[in-house]
Amino acid sequence: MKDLKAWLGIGLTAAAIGAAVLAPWLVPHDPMQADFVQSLRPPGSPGHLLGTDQLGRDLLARVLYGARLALFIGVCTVLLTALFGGLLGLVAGFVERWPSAVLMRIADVQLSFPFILLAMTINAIVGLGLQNIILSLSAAGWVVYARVVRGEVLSVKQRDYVQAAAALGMSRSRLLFRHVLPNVAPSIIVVASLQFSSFIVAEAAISFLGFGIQPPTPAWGSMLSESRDFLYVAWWLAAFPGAALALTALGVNLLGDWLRDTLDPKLRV
Amino acid sequence: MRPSRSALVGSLLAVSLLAGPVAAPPVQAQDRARTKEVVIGLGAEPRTMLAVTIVDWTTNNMLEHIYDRLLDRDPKTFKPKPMLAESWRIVNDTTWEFKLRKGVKFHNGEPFTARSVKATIDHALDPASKSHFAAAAYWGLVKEVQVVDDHTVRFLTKQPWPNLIDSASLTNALMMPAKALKDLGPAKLNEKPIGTGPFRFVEWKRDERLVLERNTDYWQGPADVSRVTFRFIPEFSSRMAALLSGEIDIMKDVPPHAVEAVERSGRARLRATVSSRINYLALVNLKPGPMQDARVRRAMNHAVDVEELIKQVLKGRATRMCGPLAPTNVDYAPAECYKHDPARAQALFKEAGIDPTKLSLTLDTPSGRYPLDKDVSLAIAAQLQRLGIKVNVVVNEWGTHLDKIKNRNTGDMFFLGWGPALHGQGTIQPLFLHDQTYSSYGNNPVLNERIARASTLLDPRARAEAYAELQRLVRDEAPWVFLWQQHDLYGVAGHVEWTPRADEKVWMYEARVAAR
Amino acid sequence: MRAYVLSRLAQTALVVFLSLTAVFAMVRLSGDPVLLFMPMDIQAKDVNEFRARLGFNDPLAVQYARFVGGAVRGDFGESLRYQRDALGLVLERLPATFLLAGTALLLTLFVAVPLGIVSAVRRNTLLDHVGTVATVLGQATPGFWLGLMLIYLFSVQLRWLPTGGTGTVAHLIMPSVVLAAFFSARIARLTRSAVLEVLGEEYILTARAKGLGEGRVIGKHTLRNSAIPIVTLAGLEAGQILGGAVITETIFAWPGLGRLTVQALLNRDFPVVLAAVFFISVMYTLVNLVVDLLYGWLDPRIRLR
Repeated sequence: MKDLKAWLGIGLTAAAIGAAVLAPWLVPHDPMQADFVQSLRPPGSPGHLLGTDQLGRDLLARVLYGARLALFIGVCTVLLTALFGGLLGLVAGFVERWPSAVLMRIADVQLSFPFILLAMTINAIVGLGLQNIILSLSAAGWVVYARVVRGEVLSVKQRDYVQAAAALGMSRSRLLFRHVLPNVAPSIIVVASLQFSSFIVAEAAISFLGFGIQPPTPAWGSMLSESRDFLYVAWWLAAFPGAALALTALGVNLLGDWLRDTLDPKLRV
Repeated sequence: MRPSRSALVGSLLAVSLLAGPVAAPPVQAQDRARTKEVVIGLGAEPRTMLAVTIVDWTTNNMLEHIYDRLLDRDPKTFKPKPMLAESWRIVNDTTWEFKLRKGVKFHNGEPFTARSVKATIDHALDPASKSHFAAAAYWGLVKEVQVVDDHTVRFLTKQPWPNLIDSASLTNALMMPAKALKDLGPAKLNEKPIGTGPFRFVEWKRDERLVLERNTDYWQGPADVSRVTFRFIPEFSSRMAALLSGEIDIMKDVPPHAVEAVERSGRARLRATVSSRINYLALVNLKPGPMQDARVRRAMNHAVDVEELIKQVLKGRATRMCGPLAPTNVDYAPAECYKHDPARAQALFKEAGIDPTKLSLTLDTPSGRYPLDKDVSLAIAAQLQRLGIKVNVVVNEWGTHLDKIKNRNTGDMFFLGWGPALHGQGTIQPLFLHDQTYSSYGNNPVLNERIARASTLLDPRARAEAYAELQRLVRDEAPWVFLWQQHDLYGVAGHVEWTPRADEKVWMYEARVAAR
Repeated sequence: MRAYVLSRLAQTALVVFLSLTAVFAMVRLSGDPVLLFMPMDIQAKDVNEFRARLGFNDPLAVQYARFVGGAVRGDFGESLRYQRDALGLVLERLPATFLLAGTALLLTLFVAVPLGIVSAVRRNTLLDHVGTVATVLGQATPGFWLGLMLIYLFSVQLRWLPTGGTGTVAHLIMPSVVLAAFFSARIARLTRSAVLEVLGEEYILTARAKGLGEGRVIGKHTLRNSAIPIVTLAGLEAGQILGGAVITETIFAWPGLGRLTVQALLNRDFPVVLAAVFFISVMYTLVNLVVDLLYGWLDPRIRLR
C-alpha cells in the first residue's frame, strides 16, 4: 500500500511535469486562439479531445498549459518561501535574543489570519497577475519554514557534538554549513513538498474568486471560475480543469508523504 | 478536571444551535400561484432602504415599489407624465411649480403634501445625509424648495435647468414622509421604510432577500401581486437552478447561451426586451498612440465585424448601433453604419501610414459586468487578428477597470457599457469631453462647442437639431467601435404574466399572477 | 494559569492591533474606493467633494489616528457601499458563518473521528484501505471544485438541492459537506495515526493481557490518550475553517462573514474589510488560546507558562 501510494505520487507528479513541459508538442492548438464557429463542442469532438469552451478554444490545450502555469507558480512560491522563511528561521535560531522574538511576533500576526484570506487580501490590494500572486502566496506562506528551521536550529545547537565543536572555536559559518544545514535540509525539503500542493490549490482558489490570474491566460482557477456561467450547457468546462488540479495536488501530496516518511518521519506539518 | 469528548461535542452543538434556528421550508411555486406571490431572483441586493440617498439602479428599482415618484414616465415614449404630481409648469427661468395629487397617504397614514416634497429634497441636499443626489447631476442645482400651500410646491434653481423635469420623473424623486423623517430620523426609516408606493416593506435580510406586501390602499388601486420577494443570487447558474426548481418566478439576466435551456425546461419562458443600456469599444484618443488618428479609428470600425459578434457570441441577443445613441434615447437621430469591410480598413490604415501587421494594441475589458463582456473582447481580438493586428486583451476586476479609465491608464481600447441611456446629454457630455471621469475621447474644439450649446437649449426643435448634428459628428469621428444595445433577458415562470421594460425596471405593480 | 491567560490575551490584542495596522497601510496603497460606489455619470468635482467629505483627502497620519481612535471603541466607520456601520454589517453575518462552521465541525467529528478509529483498529482491512483512499482524495480535492461538481450533480442535474442561499436544512447540506470534506480528511488521517501510536504502547498491551474487553481497551484507554493530537489539530483547523468558509460561502451564496469579506474586497469597501479583519483575527487567536487551554486540561502533565 505504501509503495503503491509512493508510485502513484511519482507517476502523477511526473505526468503533470510532462504535461507542463511538453504542452506545445502534445496539442496542435493555441490555448488562447478563439474560433467561435467551434464554440462549446462536447468532449470527443473531432480535433478536440476534451471539447471546446465558449470561444471555441481547445480545452485540452488550455488544461495542459494550465499545468505549466500551476507548476511554475508552485515552484516559484516554494523556492521563495523556502529561501526567505528558511533564512529568517536560521537567523532567529542563531541569534536567539530579540531577532528571534521579533520574528515570532511577526509570525503570530501572520498566523492570526487564515492563509488564503491573507493572500487574497494582499492581491486585492496590490493588484492581480502572475507576479503578484506569487508574491502574495509567498508573503503568506513563509512562516512555516521560519518556524520549522528555527526549531531545528535550536535543537541542533543543543546537541553535544555541536556544543563541543563550538567550544573548540569552530567559526559560525562552518558551524552553519557543517552541522546545521545538513540537519535542516531534509525538513525543508519535506515542508516544501507538502506546501507545494497547498500553494497551487490556493492559487487556483484565489483565481477562482477573481483575485488572481485573469482570463484569457489558461489558469485552472480562472478557467473554473469562467465555467460557472456555462454549467448548464457545458459540464466539461468545470470537470476537466478541476480534475487536473485535483490529480496534480494528489500526486504532489503523495510524493510529499513519501518524502516525509523516508527523510524525516518525526516531522508534523 | 477530566477530558470528556461529550463535553466537547456538547459545546460545539451549543455553538451551532446558538447560531440561529433553521427557518421554515420555502413555499412551493404552486402555492405561490394561489396566494399570488412572486419571487424575483436578482444578482445584487439593495444598498439602502432610504429614498434619494444612493444612486444605484438595482437599489432604486426595489425602492420604487415602496416609494412613488413625483412624475412617472411613459414606458414607450419615456415622456414625463403625472404621478404624485398632477401637473407642472415653468413659472420663470429658474422656478418650476408642481401641483400635487390630493388624498394620497403614506403607509403609516401620514398624508402626502408639499411638505413631504420639501423634506425629501432637503434630505438629499443635506451634507449630513451623504446623499449621492446632492451632486449637480441630480438635485445639486436646486437652490430651494418652497411650500406654496398643502398641494403646491415650487423648485427654485440656481440657474436655468431644463433637465429638472427628467430628475422629477426618475428615482431621483422618490418621496419620503416629512413627519416620520423628522420624528423617527433617517436611521429608523432605513430599517423600516415608509412610502406611498404600491407595496409595503416587510423585511430585509441582508444578502438574502427583501420582502414586500401589497398596499391595499394604493391610490392607483391595489396591485394584483400580494407579496413580492426579491432574492439576491449573484451567480447566474444558481439563479437558473432556482428558476428551474421553482424557488423563484422571475430571473434577471439570462445569458444568451442559456436561452434554449430555459425554453426547454417547460417551467419558464424567456421574456426579452431591447435595453436602453449600450455597449461600446472605446478607441482612446486621450493618450498617445495610433487612436489619435481618426482614419485609424474609422479603419477599426470597418475591421470589426459587429454582426458576426452579435450572431456568434451573443447568439443574436443584441441590437446593433451605428452612432452614439440608441433609438430608445429621446434625442436619437439615425446614423449610417460602418460596414464590415476589411479592404476599406486596409486602405484607411495605409492612408494613415500604418501597417496593421506591425500593429500591437491593448484592449482592457471588465468581466461579468455586461453580457459576455470578456468574451466579446476576446472575440474582437480574434477578428482583428485576421488583419494581422496583434491585440493583447487585459481582463480587469471591475474596480481596477474604472480606475484605469479614470486615470487614462487603459490600453488603446476598452470595453464599457453605459445606461440606462435615456437622454442625449447624459451620454454625449460625460463620454466625449476630455475632462470627464469616464470619457475616452475629447479635445475636439468643434465637438466641445456643440455639446456646450446643446445642453442649454430649451426649445424642443432646436434641441433635436443640435443632437442630430452631434450624432453625425461623433459618428464620423469614430471615437468608439459602435457596438450594440443590450437585450435584457428574463426567465419568467409560467404562472406569472409580466413584460420586461426597456428601462431595465422590474416593476411588479404591472405583473399578474394566473392561478393554474 | 490566570497569568498565562492574561498574558495571552494581551498578546492577542497586540497581534490584532499589528495586523489591523498592516491592513490599513496596504488598503491606503490601493486604488480609489470612491469611484466604485458613485454613479458613473457623476462629475469629477462631485467625486472629489465626496472624497473630502469621507476624509480620504486628509494626510495619512490623520486618517490612521482617526481609524485607531474609532477602532478602539469598536467603530470602524461606515461602509462605503451601504452607508451603515461596518462592524454592524460584520456582526450580522456571524450567525450564518457559525452555523455553517459548526455544522462542518460536527460532521467532521461524527464522520472523521470514527473513521480514523475504525481504520486504525481494523488496520489493513478493506475498510482501512477504502478509508485511506477516501482521505487522500479528500485532502487533494479543492473545495471550490467539489462545490461546483456537487452543484452540477445535485442542483443542475438531479434538482434535489438548492444551489445556494439559506432557509432550510437542504440549503445547509452541500456547503457544510464541502467545508467539512478537506477538514475531515486531515482529522481522519491524524486520528488513525494517533490511535495506531497509542495501540502500540505498553499499557494497552498490558490492558489486553489483563483480559479487558476490546471495547474497554479502545474506549477507555486508547481514545483518551489519542485525544491530545486530535484536539490540537482540530483547534488549528478551526481557524482554517474560516479560510475555507470564504470560498464555500462564495460558491453557495451563503450570507456569512467570508462572503461579506470577499465582496468588500471586490468593492473596496475598506471599513468593512478592516472590521472583518479585526473580527477574524480576534476569533482566530481566541480559538488558538482555547485550544491551548484544552490541551492543558486534557493532559495535566503539560504546564502552561
